[in-house]
Amino acid sequence: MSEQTIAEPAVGTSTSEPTYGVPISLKKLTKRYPGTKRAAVDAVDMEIPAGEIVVFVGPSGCGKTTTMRMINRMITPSDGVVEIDGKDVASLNDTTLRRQIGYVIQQIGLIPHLTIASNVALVPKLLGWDKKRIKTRVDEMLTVVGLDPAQYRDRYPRQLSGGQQQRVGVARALAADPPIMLMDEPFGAVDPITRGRLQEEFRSLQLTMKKTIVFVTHDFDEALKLGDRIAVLREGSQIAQYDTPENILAAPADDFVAGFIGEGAALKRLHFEPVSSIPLEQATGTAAGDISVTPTDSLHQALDLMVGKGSTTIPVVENGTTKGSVSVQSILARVGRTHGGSHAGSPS
Amino acid sequence: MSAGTTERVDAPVPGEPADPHVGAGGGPPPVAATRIITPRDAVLPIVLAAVLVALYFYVDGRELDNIEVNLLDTQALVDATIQHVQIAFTIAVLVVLIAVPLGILVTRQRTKKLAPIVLAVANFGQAAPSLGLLALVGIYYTGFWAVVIILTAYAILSVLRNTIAGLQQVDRGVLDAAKGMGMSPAAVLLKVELPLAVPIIGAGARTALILAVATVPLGQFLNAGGLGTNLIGGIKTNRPIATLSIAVIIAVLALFLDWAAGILQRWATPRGVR
Repeated sequence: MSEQTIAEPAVGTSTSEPTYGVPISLKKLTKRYPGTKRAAVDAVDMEIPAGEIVVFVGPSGCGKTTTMRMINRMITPSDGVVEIDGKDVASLNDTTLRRQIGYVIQQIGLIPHLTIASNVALVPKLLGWDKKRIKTRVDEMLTVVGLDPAQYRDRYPRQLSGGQQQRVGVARALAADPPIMLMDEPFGAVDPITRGRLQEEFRSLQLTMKKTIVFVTHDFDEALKLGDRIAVLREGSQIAQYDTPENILAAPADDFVAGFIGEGAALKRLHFEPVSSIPLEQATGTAAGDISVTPTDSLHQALDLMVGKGSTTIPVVENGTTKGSVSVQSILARVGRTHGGSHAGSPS
Repeated sequence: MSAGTTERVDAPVPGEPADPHVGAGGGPPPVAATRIITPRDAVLPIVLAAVLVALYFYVDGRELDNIEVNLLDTQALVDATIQHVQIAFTIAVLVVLIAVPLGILVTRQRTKKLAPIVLAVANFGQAAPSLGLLALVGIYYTGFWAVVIILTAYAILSVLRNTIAGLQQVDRGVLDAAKGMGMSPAAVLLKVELPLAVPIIGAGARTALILAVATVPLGQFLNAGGLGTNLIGGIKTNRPIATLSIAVIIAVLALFLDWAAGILQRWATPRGVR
């Protein structure tokens, strides 16, 4: 059994603890299509740490999806190795491998003639779980993704909105509690408001799941929002930069990465800096009216509120008591200090 | 039936009240509301029964000579109808048994290359004049199976083409997800592709059945039996009332079987896509 699984404890053991992520490493991973000059994926080396969300971001056709799909062998590599937890995935049967890797795609791909419950139950069924355990698990997963099991269990996919369908897509991928998830632009086809909400929920879900997640997108802001690490890829899936969002914003490796970040890198960085990262000033009365922030809010939020109210300071409130305030000047000072190409560490 | 017709599209009936569940409260319709048999399904059998009753009274009110009495003998007609249906069903079943696996074969990645050859053969089967084929085969073989085989070759294309179309229209995302979750190729075919292709394959099978009912009379030249014997008898002996009556019976039979097959097709279509 042990050589048939990619993670210990074996996937689907009946402990209540979720299966945490395992590391993935790509070694000289290459995909060449016949009749093309350049390799679609050209000898990529990458270490994906356990329990992190690594976002592959890059322009269309750069090979990011191809790279991801070689991890569960939906595409067979021409050369190179994918190792999951130190084990070459080529040594596993393709279907055995895939049942241990969650898979979420932009087209969602719920099976239209199966109920929501049957869709979520798909992989547990393939793994031969007993009926009672499957039923419990399905209800649990639907609840996790914010769908009331009693209401949605027996519906068919076409009776759900796009956002709800992708919630089911995520529940289905998580049903057998795989250590790894592959997500290919999963929130790309839903409206911006739903997308934002799904991103938030997914981010907080990952805090408890701690899966190893490879997430593909062409939207850099999504990469910033979700990624523990971002791999900015250029043609041939070549890594232009592979680092934390903060470091990429603070010090883009080259013009390609800078171009991909787009405008407003300095402002985007404020998303990653909590109010508590700068010294608080004396609260200056109640001049700004009803706006306030907490120490864990981002400096971006603080600045946004001030700009919206036309105020230059904002009170910082924690548990109902005013701790002090931050001003536009102090935020600008913070931006100035970490700006300018120097490798800024994350705020301590 | 023209060779190009392989799919039937059920056009919405004008004046049909909109489904009250659609759009109610903005929510999507509950699938339970899509019933297999609706009151509308009663219309066709009633009309067909009325046609047969009218035919009966029309014929009954005429003075018939001996030949006509023989051609229109009730017991003989019932026997011939049963025989006719037997031949048509045998053809339809054979067509499905041959065309569906062929359709699957030519849509698999590894055997895709065979598609042009298979389609060319099937096209030939349909393009060849069936009467000529019957005459040709009739020199050597006659009877039930000779007719069944020729007319099967004639009807294969409709199911083959619909099987290919039905498998190809399955959403690529659904297939990608099914495979990506670790379903084996056989499981993807049996549990995802074929159920989703049922409506279109079924439409092809209906076409094949109607084609068979309509062409079985030609089998009379090879002594296959069925209503063709009486029909050709009517023509040969110049008895227009008998000829017309039997032609009407064949048409009613074709429409009735199409109606029944339509209900069967809806029943076989999985819920959720119905």
